[in-house]
Amino acid sequence: MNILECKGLTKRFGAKTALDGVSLTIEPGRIVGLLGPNGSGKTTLIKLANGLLVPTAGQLWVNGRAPGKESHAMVSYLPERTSLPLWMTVKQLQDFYEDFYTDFQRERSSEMLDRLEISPKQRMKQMSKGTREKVQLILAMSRQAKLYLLDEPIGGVDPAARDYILDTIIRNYNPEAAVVISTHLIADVEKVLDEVIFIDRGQILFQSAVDTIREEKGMSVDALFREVYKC
Amino acid sequence: MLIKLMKHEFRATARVMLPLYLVTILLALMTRASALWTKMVTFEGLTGQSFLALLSGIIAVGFSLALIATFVVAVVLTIQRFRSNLMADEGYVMFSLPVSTHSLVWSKLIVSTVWFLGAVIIDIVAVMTLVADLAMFQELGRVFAEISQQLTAYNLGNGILFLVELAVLFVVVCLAACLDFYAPLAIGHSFAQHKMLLSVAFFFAIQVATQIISGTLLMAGVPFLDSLTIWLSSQVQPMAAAHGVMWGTILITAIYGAILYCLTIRMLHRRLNLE
Amino acid sequence: MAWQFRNDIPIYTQLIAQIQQKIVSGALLPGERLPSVRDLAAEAGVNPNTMQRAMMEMEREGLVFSQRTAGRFVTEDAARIKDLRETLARDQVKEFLESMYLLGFRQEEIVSFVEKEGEHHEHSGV
Repeated sequence: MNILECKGLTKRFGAKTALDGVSLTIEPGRIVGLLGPNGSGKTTLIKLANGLLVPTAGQLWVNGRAPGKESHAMVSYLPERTSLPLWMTVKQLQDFYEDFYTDFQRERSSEMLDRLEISPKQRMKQMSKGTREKVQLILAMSRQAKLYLLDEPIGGVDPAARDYILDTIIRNYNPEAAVVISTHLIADVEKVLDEVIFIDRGQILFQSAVDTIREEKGMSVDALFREVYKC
Repeated sequence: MLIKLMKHEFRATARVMLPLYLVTILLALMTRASALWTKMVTFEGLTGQSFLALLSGIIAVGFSLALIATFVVAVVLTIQRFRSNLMADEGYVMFSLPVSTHSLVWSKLIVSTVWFLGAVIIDIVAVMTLVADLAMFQELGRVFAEISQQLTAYNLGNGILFLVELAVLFVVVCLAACLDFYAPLAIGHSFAQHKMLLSVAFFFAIQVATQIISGTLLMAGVPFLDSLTIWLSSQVQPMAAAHGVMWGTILITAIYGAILYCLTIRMLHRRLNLE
Repeated sequence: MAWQFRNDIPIYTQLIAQIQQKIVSGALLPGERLPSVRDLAAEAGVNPNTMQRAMMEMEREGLVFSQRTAGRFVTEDAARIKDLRETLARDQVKEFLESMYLLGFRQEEIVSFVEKEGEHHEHSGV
């Protein structure tokens, strides 16, 4: 079964069309890059997949289910903005995740926090923006989900943490699960991806394997991206 | 899952409400103490006297404010928790949980109601602390003795029923009051811009609409009111009519709340639009 | 050893080339057990499926073999490794020669040039 499937997915906000008849499938075991400039519809697609928006038209399934509380149990979502309550400590957040997600591995998260030198006693409020993003990513990656929806996971963090994050994604690899990474920093993630989906103005331009692009075009996905979205 | 949501909702709100309750009780004790010391301690000179008077004045004002604050803060928390935890950034986390939207809303409704109830209890306890003395307890004992003497099955039954009715009414009013804020917040935040401004506008719109509708219904009912009263008094006992009025009020409040609840849920289901 | 990648060719072919290099240079010994695909992928910072593809390709070429439970190993076939070593060397030389011809060198010139530079290279200890 496909982990994520969209058919004719359309989302309009008033007169503005954010997503226009998107159809795609993502198979288990894939790490997929969702690539496009700002405002191309990446975040809208991810929010729809996580049930934070309701489509204007079309359909979408996560592991065969429409978005809802059942799909939420299978999806680990990293929003593009840090959205964890600021008054909570890291330990309280671990409690929170443990309470609601049966697939949350507390020890794993503690290990990662330790590695990035984040104390469980620290409050979110006291942290820098970058550290908050790391905490949120660690919590998301500490779940054994079917689908990881990571919206701009490496946008605001330093290079060392970025390498650690990408390493975590590789080590967390599960042939039963899929990872979707939305980003515009392609050069950094390219090697970690199986496939890429190019999206522009709410429409899918194409979906292709990274090595197929390199084989056929003789250039990296990053270079192709620059060519496709040339101003 | 509702229990877990409530647990975290309590965790988020208790850190404001419990200290506030504590401060209220402390201020009650201090007010009491200040009444005692102004009686007992006599200072040489005017400055000492007026300083003490000023101090007791400040404490008394603080206590009055604390009594009001237990309710005001509970209301502010009701609004602020719905807005920040569901309609702002934290909504990304909350609406991604494997729980239903109903559970999300109910966890907040129940916890808010508990804090309102807590405010009532704390305020009663605080005032009792302030005024209680031996004579009062003696008086209370006399009153209870008298009541128990006059107590017949009829009075007891009605008394308990009124208490139950009051309790139910209190809960229903609290829930409806929360939803008075939830519904406009949910509507206002479904727009792309001016979310808070629109929420305030919808709050007043709903209030005005409710006034107009209830006013119209009342006006339409006025010509029949007399005949209805006459008919009712011929049919039922005054006591039964009183209970009827209580349950009628509960029912109308519940219907009002249910409409707002459906509106809130529908907006969150269909029109969720986090920034 | 750090993994290096170019941008204009597929990643899996680059993975193959770098593992082959390790085998012929002796960094990986004949019969040596390889880390798991996931660990190798993490080490190289690449997608596990891409690493898997590289491994399958090398298995097909007989450079590595897998045993159902024990994991994956470098081939013990010394002749196969020697063969690979020569193939890789031949590719390098061919490429080098083509560049030298483009610079206008003739064969004898190239040979003496290489001898001289090679000595220099060894003495400087690079």
